[in-house]
Amino acid sequence: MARGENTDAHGTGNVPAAAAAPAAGPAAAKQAGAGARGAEGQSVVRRLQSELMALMMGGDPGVSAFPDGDNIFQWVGTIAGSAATAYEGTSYRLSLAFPADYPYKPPKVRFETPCFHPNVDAHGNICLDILQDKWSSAYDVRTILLSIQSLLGEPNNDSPLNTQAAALWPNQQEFRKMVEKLYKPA
Amino acid sequence: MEEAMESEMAVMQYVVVELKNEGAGAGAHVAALAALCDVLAVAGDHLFYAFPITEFVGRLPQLVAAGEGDVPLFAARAIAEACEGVPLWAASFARYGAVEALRDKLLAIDCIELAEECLRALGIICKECPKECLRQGVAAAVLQFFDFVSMNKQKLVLKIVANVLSDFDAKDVDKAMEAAPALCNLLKSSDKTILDSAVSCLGMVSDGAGGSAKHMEKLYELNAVDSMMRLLENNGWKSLSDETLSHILGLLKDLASVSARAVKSLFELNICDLLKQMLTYYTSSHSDHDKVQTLVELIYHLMPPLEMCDHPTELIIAKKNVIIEQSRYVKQIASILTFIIQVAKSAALSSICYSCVVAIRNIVELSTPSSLVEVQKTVNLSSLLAGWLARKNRHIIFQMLNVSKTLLKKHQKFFVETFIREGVKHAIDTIVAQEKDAKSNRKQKGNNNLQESCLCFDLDLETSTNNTCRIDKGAILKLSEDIKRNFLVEGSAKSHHRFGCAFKSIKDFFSRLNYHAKAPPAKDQDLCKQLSDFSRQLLSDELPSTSNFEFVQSGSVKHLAGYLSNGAYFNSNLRNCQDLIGQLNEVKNRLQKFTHLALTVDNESSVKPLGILVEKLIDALHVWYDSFPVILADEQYTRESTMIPLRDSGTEQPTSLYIKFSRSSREEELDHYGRILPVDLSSTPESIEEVLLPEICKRTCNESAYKETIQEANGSRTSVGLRGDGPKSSRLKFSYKGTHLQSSATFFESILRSMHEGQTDLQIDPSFWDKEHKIKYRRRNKSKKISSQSSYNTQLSRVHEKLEMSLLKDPFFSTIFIGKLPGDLDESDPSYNFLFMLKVLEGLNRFSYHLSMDEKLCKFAEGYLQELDDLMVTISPIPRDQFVSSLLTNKLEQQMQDTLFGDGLIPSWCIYLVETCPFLLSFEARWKYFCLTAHHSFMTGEVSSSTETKKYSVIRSKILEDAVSMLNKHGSDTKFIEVEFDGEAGTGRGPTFEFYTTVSHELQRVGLGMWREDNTSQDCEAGFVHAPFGLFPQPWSSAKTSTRWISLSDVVQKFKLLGQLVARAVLDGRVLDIPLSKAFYKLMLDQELDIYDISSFDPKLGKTVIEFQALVKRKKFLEERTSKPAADLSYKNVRLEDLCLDFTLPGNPEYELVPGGSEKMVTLDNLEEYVSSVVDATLKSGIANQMEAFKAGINEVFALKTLRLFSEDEMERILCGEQDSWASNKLEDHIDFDHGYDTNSPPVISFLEILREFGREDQRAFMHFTTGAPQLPLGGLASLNPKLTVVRKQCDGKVDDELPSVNTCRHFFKLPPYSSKEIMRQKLKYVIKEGLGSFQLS
Repeated sequence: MARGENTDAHGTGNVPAAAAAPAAGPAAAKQAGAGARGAEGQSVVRRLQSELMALMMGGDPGVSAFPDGDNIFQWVGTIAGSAATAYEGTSYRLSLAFPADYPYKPPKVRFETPCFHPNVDAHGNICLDILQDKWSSAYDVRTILLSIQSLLGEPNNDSPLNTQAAALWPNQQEFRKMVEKLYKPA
Repeated sequence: MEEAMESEMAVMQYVVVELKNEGAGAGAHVAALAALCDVLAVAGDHLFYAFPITEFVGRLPQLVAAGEGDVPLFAARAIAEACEGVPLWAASFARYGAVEALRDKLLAIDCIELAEECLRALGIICKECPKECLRQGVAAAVLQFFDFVSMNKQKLVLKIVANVLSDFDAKDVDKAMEAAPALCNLLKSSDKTILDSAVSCLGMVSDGAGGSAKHMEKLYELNAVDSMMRLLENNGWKSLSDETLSHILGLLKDLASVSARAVKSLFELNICDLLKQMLTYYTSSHSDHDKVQTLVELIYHLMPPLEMCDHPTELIIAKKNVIIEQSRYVKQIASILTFIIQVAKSAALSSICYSCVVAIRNIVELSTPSSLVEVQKTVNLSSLLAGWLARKNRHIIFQMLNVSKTLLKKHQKFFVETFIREGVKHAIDTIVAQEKDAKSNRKQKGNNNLQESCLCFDLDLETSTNNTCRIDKGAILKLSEDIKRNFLVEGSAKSHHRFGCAFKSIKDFFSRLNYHAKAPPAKDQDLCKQLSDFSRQLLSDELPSTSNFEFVQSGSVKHLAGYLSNGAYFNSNLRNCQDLIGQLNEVKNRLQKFTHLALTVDNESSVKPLGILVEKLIDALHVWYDSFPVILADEQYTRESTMIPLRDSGTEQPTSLYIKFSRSSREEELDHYGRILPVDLSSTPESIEEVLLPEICKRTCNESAYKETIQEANGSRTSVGLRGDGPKSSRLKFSYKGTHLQSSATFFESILRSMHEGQTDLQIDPSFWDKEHKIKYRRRNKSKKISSQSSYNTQLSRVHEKLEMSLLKDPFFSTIFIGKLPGDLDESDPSYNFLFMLKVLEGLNRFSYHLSMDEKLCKFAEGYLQELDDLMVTISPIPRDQFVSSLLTNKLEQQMQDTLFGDGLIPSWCIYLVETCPFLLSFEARWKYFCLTAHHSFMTGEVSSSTETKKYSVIRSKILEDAVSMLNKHGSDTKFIEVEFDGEAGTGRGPTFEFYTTVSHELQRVGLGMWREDNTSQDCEAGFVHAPFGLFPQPWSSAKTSTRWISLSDVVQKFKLLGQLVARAVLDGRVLDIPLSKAFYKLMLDQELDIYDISSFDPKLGKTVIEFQALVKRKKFLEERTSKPAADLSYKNVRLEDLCLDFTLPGNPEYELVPGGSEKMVTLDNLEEYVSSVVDATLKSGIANQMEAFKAGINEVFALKTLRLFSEDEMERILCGEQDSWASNKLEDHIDFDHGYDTNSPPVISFLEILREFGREDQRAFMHFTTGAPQLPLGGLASLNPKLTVVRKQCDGKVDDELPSVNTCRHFFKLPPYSSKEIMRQKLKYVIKEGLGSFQLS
């Protein structure tokens, strides 16, 4: 099929604007996305800034999050394992990527610190309903982080991503050992 | 040239001399003949004029017969060459004994070369003189050594036989029968063409034998029955060609009709099972009526004919004995009954229905009482009887009365009761009354001279012309009175009990429902519950057991219509009421309540009440068979009602009628016209008015304004022939023989109808076409009624503009709201009620999600629902195909097969149904209709120039650009467009298909600004937009028409291209590969979208705006109805301000919803404005330019509105074909099996089989259930990440009670190891259809 050969074909035709920049295509589109996240993306920026304020003022124990560098759409979060769980004493870093239509769509959240957990896969992807189809615009970074924190102590073993972890869960001592073994703090 | 000719003549002379010389040796003759053959083989036309044929005709056959050595061979060759050159000579040769000579040589079979030469010669001679050949026994002779000749010659042999047998006299039957043994032998052949010809030859033999018992018995002895049954059994009939199957069935029928032994063998070989399979197949395909007719006739002939039982012949007694001897034969034949009843139920033609009815009568006669009770329970024969008895065709009525009588005789107690309940008794009473009435009328007025065509002898083979109809005038009355007297008198009084009960409970139900609708539900929770329990009981328990007759007679349809329309249905004055909004809300309310009742079920296995209701309505509609008359012109159905003879048109002129228009005597203003106008069959009063009006208004009107129309009308026929586009205000009234003509029905149909008013059958003699038909015209009075109606309409349209819910703008809603079906359908027609109700229920079903979501919102507003998370719709609609009427589909199919359909012989009911109630007709039928009507010019053009295609060359690297210029240039061409790629070798279908696929892919590229999800798909490496719920246009703000890299005008251009591409693909039958969303298809079909449609392409956005909308409504409610301050309302415990939303489009901060929107924050107070602007931008204003361009693109090729008869699902099917969302053959490559399963586990094998059998919709539902999105990314299952994995579900209890479940994150499908494939299929279908809950959006 022509798919491969045509990556730069669609703009070069009768489209004057694109013809001026023949190397258009995905590259240009990416720039555009970044542009949208610049000064004009006020709605989302405003929202994220107010969330940041709320997080700093709220002082929830064990969760925190900050923008990653200059890009307000990219955050780094931290979760401390709750006391009296297998994760006690650990601290996990997560990345949060916000879409342009946040809060209508959920951010993409991933564990950056390797995490041995029934609902987290080897790449750090998390299976949590509020990050998928149960997302609501009323949720925010704080609720997401708190939900993940509680997920650590109460996994959903019925639909595991990490089947080994799910199998091991009933044996909390062994489980704790695995958590420690695989825990590599940044 | 001259020389060549001279030398040829010289050779000829030499040959003549040599051949005359009888004393010459064989060698000399051979040499001369060889020379002759050489000359003949290369001779041009001139030679044949000069050829001394008289010298040869006598001599050559002699030489064939008596020559020595190679002489016969060359003589035969010479004959063949000569006849090939001049076919006329063949007859001369035949006269001189050539046929005999060649036959003898063939039978002698000295050498194979000679035999083949003989065959060749005979092959030509038999075309010219088949009868001579037959008498000489050529047919049997050529077949004798069939196995010895080459494949090519075998085909020739069969051609000869076919020619010989094609048409023979009765006296030559014996000769023809000589060929039968060999032909029967050929039935075992594995070669398809040989088999086909053998069967067709046998068919000819049997046709010629004319049902003679002697010959048929002979055929039977040749094992014809066995051989043919062997071909049919084990689904063999499916692989036979259509024609061959027809021949075989015809042969079997002929055999069965005259041979009791054949009947016995057929039973022995289990013919009944085969018949059942075939009946089911052909009735569901709706198109092959002839096959169905033959099958029914075959069934009929398996039994002794009842009509003739009074004078039993040997054959009848023999047949009787065959069946009675073996009780299992009786059982076999009885088992067919239910199938043949289904055929009769949906038969579009009286003749087929009649045949069925006669067969039914025969079977009933043979069946045991207990099996008849069983039949009654499975197919409700009595209810159908009642329907048939209400028809107009007297032959059918007569036979049905006979069936009723037989049933009563067999099991009086049971059937008296059923007959009363199902309305058979009522129908018989009506017949008695009508007949008595007719009798007394006849005495007064003299005989009515219109007779219906007689069907009595349809099924008999001997067709002597002097048979008189068996149903004389008094027969029906006599029979029906007889039934009444003997069977239906006693006990009828007390049986009214049951009937009255159903009537009362339904009436009661609606009065309560009416009451319920008025009282606010909060007032009396108990009453509320009581009522809903009661309604559920009525809808799901009572309704199924209510007979059709009771259902119709109780008036429940009217009650329901009255209830749902809040009285508008009964009272047209209400249509003028002032409080439109209040009325609107009330009707909406009632629809919502009813939707809830009709679509809720107690458990997964029970049928939804709506399904039962629809089935009943369709059955009731079928009773009014005669409201939808099929009008046929074909000669082949001469027995059928409303028959018109085909006009014998030697010319290519389209058929037209001569109409003389004259001024009505009461008309004074208009001019006299008085000319005779030839009009198309498809012209209507509406269309003729444009032509006529300027002619007759000269005195009063402005002349020049009409000049153009006149010229056009005189210049071409099309302007007179086309139907009007929309409802125009007609100014003329036309009448024919005193009756007013409907302005939308064609003249042709109106004249036909009025000619046979009150009769079902009518034969028109050919003079119909030549005589002039007088139509009178007069000016239409401007009545007050119209003006009040129109003021109402303007009022309504003003309200319309303000309406936000799309369902309120759907034609179905205005139907229920006004209480009247659109169009000028006769409201007094008995079918009207049912069409009305079906239209309403279909709309209700289609909008069930919208209706119940809206209801939930209202409940939330009023405080009955506390949580926004409870805004979920749990009901799902019934499948749309439940609304399809098989009878009406059949009727339309039959009508479309008529040769005059293309010329415009389209009865107004066809047009009406297609336009107003398309859901009653199957998709296939509508598609055919679309092809025949919408593209009339295109399709007829195609016939004459089907080979004509427009070739266009495109360059692969700039395919979009080339596509634009190609479609701009040739988009509206009537030729097929074929595409080839520049510099590539391929042409034809392949590259053309690739072109459409490639262009549709190119239009999905990231960065074009066409589609939503464009921004979020950037990370995809493939560079294509992936819209999990289908593509929907991305909104563009009118304030900002370009960004740094694209401008709106480019986007608009692309949408125009897409429109052209879509239209061209529909027209040329090409397929696009573009996953458009259902909502986009709705827009394509000119439907409106509303807030509830957003979820179908963007569920997360849709969910949030619906929740916001609920808050808005709650706030309004609190402010209006209570003193409670609404200020503390929050969105899931979050203050709206804290969401930090501004007035820009979600995901597109540059799109300001109001001027300065990026600075305006959303608060509770302006939430309503925000929601409506988001909805408006997403569905209307933001995509208006794009959609306009898209539609314009389609309109360039054909009128967009002609697509309206399809639903969005069907549109997708047309455009994207039946292609699968996944490649079925590679299924196991793209699915992993884990946790207790591998590819060899039995449940996995069943699972894969089930998936392969899934249709497109099921596949999509499965993907939706498993991955959360119905649309796979481009590339299908293979590009799904992570890979779809099927794992074993651990079950504690009984495995077969468990349901499959999923993990959408990881695309895990957890499948319990069910005990059987059937259970697995059931459970899978259940979860993918019902398990989606709020996601379920069609």
